[in-house]
Order: sequence, then C-alpha cells, then structure tokens
Amino acid sequence: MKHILIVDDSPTILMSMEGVLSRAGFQVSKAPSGEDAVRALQNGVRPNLVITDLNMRGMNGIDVIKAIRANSATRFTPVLMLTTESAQDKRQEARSAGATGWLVKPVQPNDLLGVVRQVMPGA
Amino acid sequence: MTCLAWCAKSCRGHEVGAWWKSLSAWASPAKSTYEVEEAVALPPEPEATLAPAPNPEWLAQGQMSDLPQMAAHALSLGLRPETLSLIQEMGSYANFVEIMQRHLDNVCSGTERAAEEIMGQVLHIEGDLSGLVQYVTHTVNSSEFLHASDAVINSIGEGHTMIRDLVRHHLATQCRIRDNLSEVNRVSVRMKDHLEDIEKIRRQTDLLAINARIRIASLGQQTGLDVIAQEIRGLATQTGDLAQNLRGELKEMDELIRSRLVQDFNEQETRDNDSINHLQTTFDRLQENMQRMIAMQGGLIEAVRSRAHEMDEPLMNLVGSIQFQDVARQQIELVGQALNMISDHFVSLSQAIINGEAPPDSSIARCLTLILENYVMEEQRAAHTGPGACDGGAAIELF
Repeated sequence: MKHILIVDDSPTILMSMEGVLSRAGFQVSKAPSGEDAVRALQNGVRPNLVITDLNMRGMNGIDVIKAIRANSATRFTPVLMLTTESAQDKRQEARSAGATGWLVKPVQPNDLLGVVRQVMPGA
Repeated sequence: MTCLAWCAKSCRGHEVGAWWKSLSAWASPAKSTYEVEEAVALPPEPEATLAPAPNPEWLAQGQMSDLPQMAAHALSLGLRPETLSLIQEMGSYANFVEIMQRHLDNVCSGTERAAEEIMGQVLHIEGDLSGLVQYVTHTVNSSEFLHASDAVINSIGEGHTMIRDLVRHHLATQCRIRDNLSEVNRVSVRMKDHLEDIEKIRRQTDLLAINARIRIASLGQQTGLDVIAQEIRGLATQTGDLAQNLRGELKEMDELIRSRLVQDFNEQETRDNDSINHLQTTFDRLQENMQRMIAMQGGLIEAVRSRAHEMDEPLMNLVGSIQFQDVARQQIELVGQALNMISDHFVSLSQAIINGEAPPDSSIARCLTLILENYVMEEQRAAHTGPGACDGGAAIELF
C-alpha cells in the first residue's frame, strides 16, 4: 500500500485529504505543521508521496520541500503543493525548490487522485 | 488597466477620493503629505459663495457620495488644507469597504455553492441509502424469504420434537429392560434355590449309597436292602422333579430374554431407525432452506456492497467539498486583518484630527496596496482589481 504524508495546518484539509486518499486505498499520515513533517521524515517515516500546503504558520511549504530535498533518503520523493495560492511567482519558487506539482484548493477528489497516481507510478 | 484605474472606474468612493486628493493639492500643495497616484485634472476654482450645507440625514447614514458637497461646504467655511486632506482620506474608506464587501460576498457565494454541493451529495447518498434500505426490506419481507425462514423454524421445531421423542422412547425402553432384568434376577434366585435342593439330594444319595454298601457287606443277602432301594427311588423322584422345575425356570428365563428383551430391543431399533430417517429428512429440509436463506443473504450482501461502491464517489466528493471551509477561513482571516489595519489607520486619523495635524503617512490606499500584496487566491485579486487582471495559472500543474 502506497504511503502519503499530508502536511497542512488546517485540520479540515487534513481530514478531507485523509478521507479522500484512504478511501482510494492509500495509507495516509498527517502532519499539522512543516516542522512536524520534517521531524517525522527525520525519524524514519518514508512516504511515497508528500502533499503539503504552502502558507503555514512557522515552516512554510517551500521550506518543507527544501528539507525533503536535502535529506538523502527523501531526495527523490515526489512532493505536491496543495494551496489556495495561485500566483505564478510562487509556483516558480516551489518548482525551483523541487516541487513535483501544484494544485489549487479546492481540488476535486477525482482530479487529486488522478495527479497522485500520475506522480506515484504503480499507485 | 491598472488596479487603481479599475478602482477609479468601478468604485464611486474612489472617484470621490481622487477628486479630493487633487482638491487637497490645490488647496495647499506645499503642506500636503498625501501622494497623488493618478493625474487628475484640477477641479474648477470654488465659487465665492457659501456652498450649501450637506444633508444631515446623509451624514448620519455615512453616505460617502455626499463628500464633495461636504468638502465644498468645508472649503467655503475656510477649513485648513490638513482638515480637507483628512476628509478626503475618510472619503476613500468607501473604496475599502466596497472591496471588503466583495471579499465577504465571495465568501458568502463560495460557502453557498459548497453548501449546495454538499447538500446535493448528501441527498445523493441519502437516496442510495434509502434505495438500499427498501431493497433489503423488500427482500427480507418477500414471500420466498419468509417461506424459507418459516421452513427453517419449522424444521428446527420438528427436529427438536423428534429428538425429544427419541430420548423419551429410549428412557421408556431402558425402564422396561430394567424391569425385565429384575425379573431375570428373581428367576435366577429361584434357580439357585433349586440347585441347592439338588445339592442336598446329592449329598443324601451319596450317604445312602455308602450305607447300602456297608449294610450289604456286613449282613449279606436279605438284610433290608429294599428299604434303601426305596429311599434311593424317592430321592431319584425328587431329583427328577427338581430337574423338571429347573427346566421350567430355564424355559421361563429363555422366554423372558427372547420374547421380552429381544422384542424390546427390536422394537426400539425399528423406532430408532424410523426416527433417524425422519430426522435426516428434516435436517435435509433444514439444510436446503438454510442454503436458500444463505443464498438470499449473499444476494443482500452483494447488493449492499454494490450500493456502497456506488456511494464511494459521492462520499469522496462530499469529503472533498469540506475544503471550502479552509478557503473561506483564509478569506475571512484576510478581511479580519484588513479590518484591523483600517482600525489602526482610523486611530491614527483621529489622533491627527485631535492634534490638528496632517493625515498620517499611512493612507487607506496604502493599506489596500498592502492587502493586495498579501492575497493568495485568484478570487481575492479579482475582487480587488477586477476579473482578468490576475496572473493565476491552471488549478493543477505538474512540473
């Protein structure tokens, strides 16, 4: 079973994403902040995909991507940004940091699953 | 079209503000600290006559559109340019309010759409569930299911009765066998008595035989042997009678065993075989009806599974629709931040009014610029600067 880590400071989004992804057969872990996500990865959590929000209190999504890319164990883990942000410069910043894709909230469950399966071969 | 140009065109309050910026610059170009962002033609020189006083009711209602009239009146009263600048700054509040109103309208329409979507999905799921409940109810109440259920119940009851009768018959047979064995025991005791009598005769016969040999040996012929012979005949007769009795007892015992015990066993065996056959038929029927019920239950489970699968998508959409809360939260948070900003600005303005100073460096227009820079959603930018002026890309993009 493919493992997905969701990072968002909104409990609603965490629950919503968990509901959608777990119903589709994925194992889901949740981190309520960027710091928690990075800590989990440092403690050996090895997701097949990370979905992170951009604007979070404390460590933001770009910082999370940078931390993931800096860790040799997670360097090649795909990371999707799931955010309300729509500005092109922010997308470019995320892309430069190593994001795999960009999704603007609210995202339709079928669209989300389509992207998730696209970036996780075999899912 | 730039942001301010769009605002100037679409927002009446902003038009008022722009007009008064130029008025302020005209009134006191050296002292004004307000930055004029748009080149606006100067208004005609005010007339020397006193401008009419603004309608007090409009003032009470806070109608900003009445500001030019108010300012003209203030100018005619000879107010200072700083005061005019303050009035002008307050006039641009209408623009701020209008933008915030659009944000709140967006939140309202967004949440309304989400609520309608969620309601649609809930009704869809409710419809599926109702259909499923109807199907299950119909199946459970169908004559086939009820017949199978009744047959199962009847078979179980019948089997229970048969097993109870079987046990009862066995107990009765056991009682009869016990009685017959007691009878055999009594016959056996009588035979033992007869055997003791025979043993007694044998001992007497042995004694007579010894006496006869002694008498014959000592007295020779004609010495009472007739008496001894008579005694021995008597004993033989007794022995014969006893043997007869013994045969009778044995015959009785044989009959008892053969006719009663064997008969009981045979009858019991026949009844048992009948009961077992009947029981087997009953259990066959039970098995058949159970299989029918299991098949119907399997159909029900499959139908439930199928309906549950059909409900997957609306359920998933329902769960996904909850994202609107996060979007609305962010929009409202931004309006809250903007209101805090404007509240701080009004505190600064009131300080300036109290102290008779020029407006503070921070203007409502600058607040709006800061707010514009902090937007994250395309919808927010569109509410502020108008549709088509945003650089938002596709909702989904893979790099």
